Amino acid sequence: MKRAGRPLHDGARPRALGLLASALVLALVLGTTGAAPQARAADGAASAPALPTGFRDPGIPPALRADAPAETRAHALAAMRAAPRSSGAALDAQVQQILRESFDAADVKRRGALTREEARAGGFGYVDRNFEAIDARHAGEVTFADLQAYLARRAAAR
Amino acid sequence: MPGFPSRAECASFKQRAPMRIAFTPHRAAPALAAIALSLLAACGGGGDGGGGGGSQDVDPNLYSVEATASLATPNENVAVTHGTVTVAGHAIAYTATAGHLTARSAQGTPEVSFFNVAYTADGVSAATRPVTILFNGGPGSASAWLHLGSWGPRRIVTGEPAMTQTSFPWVENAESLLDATDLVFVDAPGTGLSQAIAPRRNIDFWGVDVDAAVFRDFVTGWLAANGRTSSPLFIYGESYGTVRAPVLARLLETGGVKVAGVILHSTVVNYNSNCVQGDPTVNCAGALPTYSAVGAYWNLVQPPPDDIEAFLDGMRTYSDTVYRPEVDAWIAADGPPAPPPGADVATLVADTGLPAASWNARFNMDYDTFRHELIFNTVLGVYDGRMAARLGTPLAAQDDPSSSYVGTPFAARINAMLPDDLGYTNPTTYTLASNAIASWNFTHQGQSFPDVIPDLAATLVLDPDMKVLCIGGEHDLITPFHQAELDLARLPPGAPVTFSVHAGGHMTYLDDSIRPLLRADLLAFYAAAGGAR
Repeated sequence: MKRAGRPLHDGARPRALGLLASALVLALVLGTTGAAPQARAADGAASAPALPTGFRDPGIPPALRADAPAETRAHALAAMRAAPRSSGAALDAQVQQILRESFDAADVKRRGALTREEARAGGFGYVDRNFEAIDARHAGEVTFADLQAYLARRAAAR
Repeated sequence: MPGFPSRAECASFKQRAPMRIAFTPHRAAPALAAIALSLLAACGGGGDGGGGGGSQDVDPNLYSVEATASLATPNENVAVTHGTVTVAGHAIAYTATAGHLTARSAQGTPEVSFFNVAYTADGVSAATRPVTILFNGGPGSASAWLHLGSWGPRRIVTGEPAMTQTSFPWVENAESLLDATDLVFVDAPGTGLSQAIAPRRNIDFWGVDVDAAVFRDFVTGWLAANGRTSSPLFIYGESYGTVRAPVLARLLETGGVKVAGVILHSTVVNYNSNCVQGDPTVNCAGALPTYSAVGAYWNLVQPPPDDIEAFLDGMRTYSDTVYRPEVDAWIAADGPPAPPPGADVATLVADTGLPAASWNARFNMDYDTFRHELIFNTVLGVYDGRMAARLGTPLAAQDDPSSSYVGTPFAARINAMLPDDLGYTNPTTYTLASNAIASWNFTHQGQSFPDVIPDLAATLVLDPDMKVLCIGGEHDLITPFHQAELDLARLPPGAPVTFSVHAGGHMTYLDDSIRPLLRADLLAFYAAAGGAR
């Protein structure tokens, strides 16, 4: 969709001298000597809509907002800066950690293995759903290594 | 409008809990209410409605979005209506079901009473018919934006990016996705009409992980209650909803529920890579192509690009290879705000229209500074940089014309359409936003702010068949499209991610010229991802 240079706001042609002056000032700031930029701001002639209470929703966590206490904000920004933007092997390690946590959450007896029933009861329905394929050893229970091997087989098959 | 008999033809109510049934004449238009009541009788759904006089709503509960609010008496009363929408020349008969569903923990404990509106096509096999769960973000935003503006059978006409309408018609939606998927619009806990169930409070679900977990319980509950556990399942999140959607997809897949596709609409999958106002430390380069799109829209880019998409491709490359390293050097120097030696400010000025003075004062350019300084004495919309208002005018009063222009019409329409179109009567005023963000727990996977790329990667390991669509608006300043591209590029090579980037703002679907393009991209995505579960 090509939009560059499209005149804006059909119903909001510039009518105020002030706006023209704004455009001229902008042209001066930009150092342009040709036609004034066609930037046109709607003048909001339509009646002012009253916003519902609490409508403002900039989506910025309070700790990151410009009006947050300085120490709070500095701490939050430092956390953002320090957060890893993992990819490759580092991301894969995070993935394995996530899967491991799901496995351990279901392995309430800390046996290092899950029966089908334990997987289902422990919220790891994925293991229940794919149990026969994961239990390649036909042991009636699966270890985390069994799960990893199953996932690797699936990935390789693609 | 031809082919648009979407008024209630036969309204009926399902009863899952003790309830009283009636339309409420003071909320529905009286004539419609009378018709509906007669239809109710004809459909055999009269119940005990109307017998006692006074106000009798389908759902008598008063809902609250306050942090400490608890719902004592949840119900699952639903209003059912029928309609038809014509899409691509085909009339689709559908059923609309509006009401609450109680999400329960694995132990069966009631957690949240989720308000949802489901549009389901009639006479289609549940085994093959996709179902899509849609939600907005915030956090704290109700899902009325997607519900009223995007892919349902009716939509609000806004005329964006122009801001010239004084009324906002409610029309049949020729771009509805109901020809491809059933649609379930759901409000997050403590938004819209969704509320935590006592003894739980709304705030107990205001965090990345608890929110996604209770959404999982909603989704599994909805699928089971509606006989849809075999239907291809799609998750569609907007804005903060693009954090919720990957975590939710991971929880669903972990629990054994296959997800066919995740749709990320206006994407912010890593809060840590998105710079904020006046932030001296997080590189803002991912937003530079957005600044160029906005500058080009306002004819401030020199020379004016003939081909905006080719221009933006060039800006992606320039941002990645020139501006980002310059900003990294600037951050590393930890010095004054002036650009680092050798930085090419002239190119930034030419390619965005933002004056040199702005770049010199704040070389790591955040979107909030940009939208206030691109055009003299004017503020641009944070959700759509094509929407501008001169300072001192009504549309600038809230510092965001892209919110001010549509906030009231959306709030008015959702409160009107629930009773008038859907027969769902309730004494609560539906609000578009709660203050959930003020107390939201953003921590996730050990970080202070969520990065859900590992969640997405883990989900794709569990289910290599799952597909991801990332939708971006080129003029959306708050979730820059190129930053989303960079974040998703962290996924392993060959990850099944496709992009749909078009002109437009955050709620890209509000642009009448873009919505058909988005629909085409979505149809292609559903076709590619819609395999049986």
